[in-house]
Amino acid sequence: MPATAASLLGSPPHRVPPILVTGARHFLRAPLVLKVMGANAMIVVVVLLLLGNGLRTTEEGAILVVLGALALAFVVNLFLVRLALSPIAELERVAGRVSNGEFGVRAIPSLVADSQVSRLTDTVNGLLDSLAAERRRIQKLGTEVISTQDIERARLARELHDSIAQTLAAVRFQLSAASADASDDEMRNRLSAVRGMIGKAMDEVRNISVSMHPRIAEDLGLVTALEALAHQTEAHGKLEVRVGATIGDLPVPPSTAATLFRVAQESLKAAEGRNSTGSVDILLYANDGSLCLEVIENRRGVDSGVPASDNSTSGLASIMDRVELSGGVMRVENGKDGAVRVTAALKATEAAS
Amino acid sequence: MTADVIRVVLADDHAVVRAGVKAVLSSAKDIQVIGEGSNGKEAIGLVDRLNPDVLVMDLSMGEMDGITATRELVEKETRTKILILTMHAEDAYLVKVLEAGASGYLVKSAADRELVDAVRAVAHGDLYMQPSATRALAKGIQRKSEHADEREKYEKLTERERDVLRFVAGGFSAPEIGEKLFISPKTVDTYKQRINEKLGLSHRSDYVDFALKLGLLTK
Repeated sequence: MPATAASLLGSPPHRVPPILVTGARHFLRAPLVLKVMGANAMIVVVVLLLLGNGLRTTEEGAILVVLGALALAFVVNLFLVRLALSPIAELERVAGRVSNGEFGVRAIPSLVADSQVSRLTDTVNGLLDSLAAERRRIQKLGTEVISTQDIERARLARELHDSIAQTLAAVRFQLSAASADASDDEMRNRLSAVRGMIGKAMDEVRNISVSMHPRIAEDLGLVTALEALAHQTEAHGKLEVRVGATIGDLPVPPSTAATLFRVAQESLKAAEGRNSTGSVDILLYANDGSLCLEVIENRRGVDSGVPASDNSTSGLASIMDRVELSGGVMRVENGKDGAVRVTAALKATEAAS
Repeated sequence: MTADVIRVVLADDHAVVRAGVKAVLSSAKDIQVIGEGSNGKEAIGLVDRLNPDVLVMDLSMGEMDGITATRELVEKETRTKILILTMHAEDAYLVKVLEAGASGYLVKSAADRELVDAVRAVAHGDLYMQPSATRALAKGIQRKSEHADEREKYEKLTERERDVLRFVAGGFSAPEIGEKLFISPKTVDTYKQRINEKLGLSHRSDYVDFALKLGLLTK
């Protein structure tokens, strides 16, 4: 709830005459130096009046008045300084929250701050507004860059799949037919060798095409694509990968699907790169308008015979940038046993992705 | 089949691939290619018109893809057997193709020699798959039959406890589960306690492990 004037001043204003409230506000909004000088001057005047009105008859009385005035001046000065610095504490709190990622937080203007501190609050809030606008602009730009990259990768992958790989397939079929027609054994063997090479080239082209753009997510949906990824990883023989999804028929925007698929892909690559052995669970669920993906490594041990790849985490770092530029959040947490847990959440709507 | 000749229609959006497939099939005396189309729609038209024994069809084609065309042909209760010939080697495509009602699945990168056998097999009413695909299917079935102990324990849970188990494993907090099941977060905690007593699950990772073993996180 936003702070109201009444809550900041403490007491209901209707009990105090308006003229006094206005006067108090003017006094509190005055620069700190003036406030301190004014308050001290008032104390001095009161002391002089008291001393002039008979309290100087005894020396003890005069000493008491001076000591009382000094104590009062100390308390008043302390109060005024604290009051003047309270908006600075608010600024410190806001700076802390912004540095923790809460970019929407702003300093609440204080009704008792002196004008210089008020200006400082306004300047900081203005700065944060500019920062937020700049951040939005960069985020939009980043999303556009990612989207353009995705389109280009998809185009190239399609080109590889639909053009080069198909042509290679056609060549292989023709070689097979020629081999069947050949009467010479040597010729048949040579044709068979070429056919084998073409088959390898087709597999390589297909692998490049799949790694550039996971078409399976578009064709069969994100859950099926994750399951296929799990099978592929298991086929490497190091990890058991299980997939659990509770998103039902929730439509997943293509760019969100592509990003979450890449999170899973890079997380599994990183697990393999660390020579992790054991199982990995991939969970996909919808929560509060976001699609969440968790990749949980259940580590049994590390194969010490094979050195860990230096690049095992670089893919995760780049995919983290991608998730954040898409307006999502991603965390990579390390457990005590070296097992890693990756969590990514992206808005389920197309606009945010 | 007419006089033991298998009549085949080809559907692929790449003319060079169709030519290659035709060249391979032509080497078999008992196979005759009687028509060619470049997408699923044309394939359906050719099947209606020519009533072939086998339709050899690609998956990714413009206008209408192979899975959609397969579904439409199966719905029409056609007698023509469908053999999918594709670049996609992922098991997931195979499952979708079989679900749609195709009789065979071949990956182009390894299909040339097997193509003739595959056409013959599906024409005679058999299912045809490459060995790698058969292994993948068998592994899937094997997984489902595992974890009988966990299944038995799961059967002992009440319907509500099963819901809570699935939601906890799926990443939902107690208040969120409460909202979904119209119960208080405290009641959710009570259910979790009962699940713990019956199954010995305490941490979320235990829930995830249990749910994944039984394939509970698929809806």
